[in-house]
Amino acid sequence: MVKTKKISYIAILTALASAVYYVESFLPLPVAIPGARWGFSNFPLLLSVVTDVGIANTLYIAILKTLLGSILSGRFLSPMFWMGLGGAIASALAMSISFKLMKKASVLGISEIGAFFSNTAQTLIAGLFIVKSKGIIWYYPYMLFFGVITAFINSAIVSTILRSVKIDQFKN
Amino acid sequence: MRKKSGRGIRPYLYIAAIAVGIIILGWLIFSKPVPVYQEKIFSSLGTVVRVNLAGDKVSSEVLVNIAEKEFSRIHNKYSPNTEGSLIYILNEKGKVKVDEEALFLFQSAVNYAALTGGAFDPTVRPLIKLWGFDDEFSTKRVPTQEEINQALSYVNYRFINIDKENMEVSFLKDGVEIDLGAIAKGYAIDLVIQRIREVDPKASGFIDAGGDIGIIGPKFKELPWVIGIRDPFSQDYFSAIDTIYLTNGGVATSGDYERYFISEGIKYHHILDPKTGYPARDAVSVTVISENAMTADIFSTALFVLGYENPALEYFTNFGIQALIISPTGERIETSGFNYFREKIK
Amino acid sequence: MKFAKKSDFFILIIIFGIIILFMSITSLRSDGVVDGAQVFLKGEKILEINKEGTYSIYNEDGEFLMNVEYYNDAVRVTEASCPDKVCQNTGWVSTPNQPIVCIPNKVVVKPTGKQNKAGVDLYTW
Repeated sequence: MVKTKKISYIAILTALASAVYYVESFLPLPVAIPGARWGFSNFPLLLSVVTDVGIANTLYIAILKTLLGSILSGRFLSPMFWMGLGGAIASALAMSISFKLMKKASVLGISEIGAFFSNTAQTLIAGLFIVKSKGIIWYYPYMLFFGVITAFINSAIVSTILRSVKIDQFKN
Repeated sequence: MRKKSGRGIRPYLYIAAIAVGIIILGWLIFSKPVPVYQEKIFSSLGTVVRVNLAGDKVSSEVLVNIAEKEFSRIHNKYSPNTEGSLIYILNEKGKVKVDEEALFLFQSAVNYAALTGGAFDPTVRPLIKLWGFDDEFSTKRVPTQEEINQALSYVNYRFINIDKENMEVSFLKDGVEIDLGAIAKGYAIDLVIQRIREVDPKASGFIDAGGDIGIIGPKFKELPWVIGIRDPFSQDYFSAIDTIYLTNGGVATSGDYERYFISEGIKYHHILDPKTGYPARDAVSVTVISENAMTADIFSTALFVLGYENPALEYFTNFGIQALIISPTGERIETSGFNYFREKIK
Repeated sequence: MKFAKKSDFFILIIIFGIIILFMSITSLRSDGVVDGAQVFLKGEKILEINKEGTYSIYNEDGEFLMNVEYYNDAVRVTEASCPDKVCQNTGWVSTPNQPIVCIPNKVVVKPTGKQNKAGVDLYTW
């Protein structure tokens, strides 16, 4: 039964993340970088990390939310898709690893680390494969700054969910 | 599994949130919206026009398109190489019906020709054609003295007759041809600036028609535009011999490096002296700053023809211009107020 | 699981440190740096250059017009087919403030990059 529960939990998180991924592409950004996004779709990912579903499952959610979200918004295989995928995988890995390593990790800390790696990966992918220009470095600090704000909001959402919804910790 | 956030960390958290809020608010208040400049490059009036504009009320793109449309209208109306233009008809038939705008332009050309004692002359076209400077693809050659004398007999601004009552411009002699090239570029720049100020008084930017420049308002609403004067002795196009700072007005330079050909080791350039029929040799570069681009354009040509040793140079400041002249040996002479534009004032 | 801990401030300080570091790097490099070029034919953008190399420009009839070279943060035009060769004589351009223009071929090569606020904006010639 635990396995079914876990599968449905992951499915719910994936659906949630894809929907947020789709909706946030309509939100205006303060910095004009093609392919950049707020990154609110990271909060289901963060939720999956802090409820300890395991690195593999978090990665599934990260890849699936980018795939589904970009298919929904018609940006599948576009530059935005690759940036989103890189960012999602990087933040999933970073958050899972920091959750495992830092015994006393908090939601905010993990969220900030995830946002930092997500933005770094996005900038790298944009700079190396999409814009192919060193000029992207100029946008990098701005992206990081907005990543900090988004991560704060994400962690607030997640801690509210943790407080008000009864979720079992999934121990592998 | 219910957990409450730690008590001890709460105050810090609130302080951090308030600090972030204040920073963002402060940023929003103190960061002025920076004008976004839109650039467009197109070819018109025989040169490349580069407009760089930022609107305040109107989007920059609209302003840039206004500029392009206005230039293409002026080009179609006054380019001597465009079939059906006023100048084309006038050169073919010897007379043409004109509207108010054309009347003003013809009158200005004649007036400035008289003011400069014929150093600027709109009727040099027969000479320009003879040398092959009328088009990039014309064969350029050194004409014989006889050919030049023949062409010179058609060169005089007094051959232009302007009939204000019948709104008609005609030539008093057959074979006279007119070219408003030296005046149309500056006129087009001024007209575009006027149009743009009408739709958006706080717009800023510049219009650069082949080195003849019109400035509309300070850069980013606070800085003067930095304009480099091309070094006439350098092969490098973008090396400045001097820099000036402008927040409005016009500047134009005539140089012997713009259009030229070399025959038997001698350089022949496109600024012809209407008196001798040969390229003017007494200057290599003349830069004129003025209230508007048209006068800057005309006087840069006229002062180039008049040359380095021009005793009446200071007299021309009465027409609201300041000039810098560089002699073939590299010496510089300038009018008394030119230095004022070297200072970076807001 | 706690929402925030004191150790989070260290993470935030590190991230803000990186932000400030990159901001100072980018503001130090405020002089115009060319990182590519755009080629316009009759006002239409026909080519975007990002990688170093030599690029051949053809008009819509397939006639060869010129080569555009982009090496070491500078752009120049070579082997132009136009009669006056003004574009070719322009030489290496290493500021995004100044485009290379070829009037007869109606080609404009515009170096791209961050515009510098301090240097010369435009030239009168």
